[in-house]
Amino acid sequence: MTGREVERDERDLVERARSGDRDAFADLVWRHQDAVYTLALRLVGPDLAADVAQESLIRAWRALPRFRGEAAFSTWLHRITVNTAWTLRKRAARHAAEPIDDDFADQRPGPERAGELVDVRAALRRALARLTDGQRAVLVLRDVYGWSTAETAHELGITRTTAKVRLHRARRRLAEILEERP
Amino acid sequence: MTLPCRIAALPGRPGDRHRARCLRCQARIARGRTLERALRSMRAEVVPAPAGLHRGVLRRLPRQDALQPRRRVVLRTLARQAAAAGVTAATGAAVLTGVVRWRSRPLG
Repeated sequence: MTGREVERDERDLVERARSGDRDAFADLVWRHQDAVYTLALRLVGPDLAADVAQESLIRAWRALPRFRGEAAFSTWLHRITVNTAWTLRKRAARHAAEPIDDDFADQRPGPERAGELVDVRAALRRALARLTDGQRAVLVLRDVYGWSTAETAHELGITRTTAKVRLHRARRRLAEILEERP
Repeated sequence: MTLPCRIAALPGRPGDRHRARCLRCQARIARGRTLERALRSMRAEVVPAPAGLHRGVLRRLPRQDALQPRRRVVLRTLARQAAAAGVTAATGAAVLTGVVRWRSRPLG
């Protein structure tokens, strides 16, 4: 199947899911669950990631009839995930202030997992876990997912200035943490 | 990116010249670029979702929000009207009680 066919197939699935077709939505969940889970993992760590992913996909289903297709389905789903992660994280923080586990490595082998970049990525994952929630969210959305400052600020419910300040501090802190390593 | 030497932050030639010569600043710049590349490359990295996620989501699927928008509007309108009627009744009762008390107060 070519890229265009995959896109058309996805549009068709979204259209069917919008009108309440659960099988079509099940296919969409298969396609996107890993990406949603990965984003959740990066935002809230392994303890909450599965809950965030599940809740995000359920919210997406509920909101699908309102999805107008202005953005790609994956982008829309990512926004819901960020929103859900933020809500659940705040709720969890009210009950317990535990630091997130820093050992969530990608278990999927692949040729790209070789060389210096792999070491840097592993160190990065550990370093990301040591940032504050707010800093990590902004850094992940801006530097990993390439969102604009405006999008990031909007989805996190903060001002652009706050987003910029958090990004600057997060980058500085990340560099400091990485330099601490032997 | 914050460089180790303050002079490196100067705009124009003095800053450029310093960065071209200072090994510490160059090392920091190189590390910063590696970090940026590594962060960007994380986007392509996907962690497999837990095995039960798909089943868990499908088992918990509720009714979609906008499938019956009409019913939601009707319910909202009824709730609003009931609340307004309640408030009006309570206000009326309070006024009536006040008037009765005022009239039956002892004179003198």
